[in-house]
Amino acid sequence: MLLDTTHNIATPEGVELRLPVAGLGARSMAWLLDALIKLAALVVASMVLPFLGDLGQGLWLIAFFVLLWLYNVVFEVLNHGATPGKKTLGLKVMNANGTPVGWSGSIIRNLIRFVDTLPGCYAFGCVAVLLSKDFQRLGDLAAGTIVVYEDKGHAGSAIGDTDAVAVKVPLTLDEQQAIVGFGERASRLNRDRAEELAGLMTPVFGEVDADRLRSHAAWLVGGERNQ
Amino acid sequence: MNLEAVTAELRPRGPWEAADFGARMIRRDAAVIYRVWFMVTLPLLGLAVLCILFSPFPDWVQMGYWWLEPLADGPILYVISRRLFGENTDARAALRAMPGITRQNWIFLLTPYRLHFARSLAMPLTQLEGLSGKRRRERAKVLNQSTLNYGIGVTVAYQHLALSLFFGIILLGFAFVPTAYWDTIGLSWFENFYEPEGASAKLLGLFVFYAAQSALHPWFVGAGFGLYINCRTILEAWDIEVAFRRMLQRREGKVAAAAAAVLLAVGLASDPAMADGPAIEPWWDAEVIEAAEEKVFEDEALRTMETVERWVTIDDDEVEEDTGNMDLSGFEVAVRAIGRFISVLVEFGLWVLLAVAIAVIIATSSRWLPYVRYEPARRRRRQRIILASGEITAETLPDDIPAAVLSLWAKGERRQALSLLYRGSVFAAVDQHGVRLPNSATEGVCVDAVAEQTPSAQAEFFRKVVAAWVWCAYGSKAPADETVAALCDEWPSHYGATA
Repeated sequence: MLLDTTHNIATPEGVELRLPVAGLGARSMAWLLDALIKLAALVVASMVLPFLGDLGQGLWLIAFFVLLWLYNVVFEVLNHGATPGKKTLGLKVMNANGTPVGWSGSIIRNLIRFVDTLPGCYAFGCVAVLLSKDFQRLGDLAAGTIVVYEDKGHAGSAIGDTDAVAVKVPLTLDEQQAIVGFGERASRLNRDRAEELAGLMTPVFGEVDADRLRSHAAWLVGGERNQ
Repeated sequence: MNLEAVTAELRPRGPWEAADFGARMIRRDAAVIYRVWFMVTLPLLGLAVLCILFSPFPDWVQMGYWWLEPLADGPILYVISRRLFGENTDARAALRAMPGITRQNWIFLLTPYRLHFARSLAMPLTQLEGLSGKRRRERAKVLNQSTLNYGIGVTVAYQHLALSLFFGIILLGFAFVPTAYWDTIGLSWFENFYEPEGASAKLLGLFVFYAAQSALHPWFVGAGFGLYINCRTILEAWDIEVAFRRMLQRREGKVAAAAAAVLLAVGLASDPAMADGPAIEPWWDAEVIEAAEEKVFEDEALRTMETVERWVTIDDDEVEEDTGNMDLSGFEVAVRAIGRFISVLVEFGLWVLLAVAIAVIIATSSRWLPYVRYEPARRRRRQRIILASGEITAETLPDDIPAAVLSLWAKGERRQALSLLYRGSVFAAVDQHGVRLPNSATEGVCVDAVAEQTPSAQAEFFRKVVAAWVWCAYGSKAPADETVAALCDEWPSHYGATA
């Protein structure tokens, strides 16, 4: 079993989902952004609200409570698992079984956040993320949630403008994906390196160079100009 | 380097994910890596302790220790890089290689490069690719194009997390101080770190610092290595090569593949021009993050209060009326008035809400009162027992069972009388003595259950009741008047007055 950064789930349909879980670096940065947003909101509130006298003070306390306890929960449940900080870093919270996080999960993980901050400065949470298998802090472990990198989606074929050349040998799915991957990334590779990689495929396709392999890739993704 | 033996899934990752990838490698080989870490840093720590105790500059020792700490980075990097490519390197091999590694990394140990903002990303160049001088700088330029920002990000995260662990440990220590001693023991505990006086305070500070570093320093090295590996995976399409080689292996069978497995020229000591291809498309560029950050700060809610201050005084009379605050402008007075109005409204609303809540609570008392008050009579009403011969609820039973039985008996309705006695006894046994019956229990099952779950005197009485009922119901053989009278007499002593 090769080491990877994913949390794998087998669905009842026999499909394996591979969720890329997010670790210490990205999560601390997202936390920092959220903390700055909350701080800024409180600073603005304490500049504006005094004009309302006692009501303002009351509102400020309410705002403080809401930011402290509800900010994360509301964003996580209503904004597809991402607070603004997480969104910026491309992270989102979900249940460990791959379903969207719900109210109870989010509330639990954000209440236990208090334990993660102990004994101050998030020391427990930091150590828990370092030690746990899927980079979970204690709140995540209690709620059964994980933080994953959001799938940005595939930008579509990036093979570029090239003639499609039919592949005459049978290929497994993994192998087709490798050829397509080569086709998409060949233009960004050093020319020598691309030729070297294409040369590896000589036993499979006969004499191939990088351009010809790209043409095969174009055919595999459904290029129209078959030859 | 042999890409076929690689022990981790290589694929182009996002930068933070790449750092996590490094963290995973550290976690997998934590036993070896921590052995290396302690074998290198503990002697350093020991040296630092001696210096604090005996050298004339104890104040500088912690800084000196910190400066030398990257000595451990080289061996850690040696272990994870070799283990990534399938070699089973252990701590001893890493230590044996340490002098050579240290020579290669000298600029990160002795020169201001020690303060390099992305040291863990830059060290693989000197150590794994063996570059120095101009060639190192050229190569670094290629890698830095896409990764430098994240290398710095990893360093920043590492420094702050180490700091927070440092303070965390201090606060944890403070948490063990009883409240009564906060201003004595607690205060001096903090002073140990704030203004260390004497060797013991300096040693304490050093140890806490060392503990925090031990948790995070290997992570830092691993994260930088992860970024480095990811960068090369993208630039040189390592993942595609791995897939191609697997394809060949499948095709030609293992023997032929082994023969064809020519070790690649992209070894760790590759040519810097090798990856010097066209610029990488910056799909994970820092610009994305910066743009989003800007968007956050453009948010309306984060603007200052300019709109509020634009308004100026118009009416002086109203100011005088206000309670002594001379500087208030008309607008402020208006805002305050609105505020007061809203707060009255809200207060009124809250009282109304409270009144409604109390009204609802009182109106629904019949629903929740039985739960909070101990009242057997009411509880009894909800009990429902299903027997083979039908179901028994409190409603179907009279309050005074023995009296009802005797009156039925006197009227000559013997079967009904004994049936009532039987059902009443079953109900009382379940309701008052907590006997549990299976659903649709027959008379025999009831007797067995009562015999198991109640004291023998009660069980004996229950058996007599059931026997009388069974003889009458199924055997058409009514018991004598005295027997029934005796049972009814004895009934309250076992099941009490249920009314």
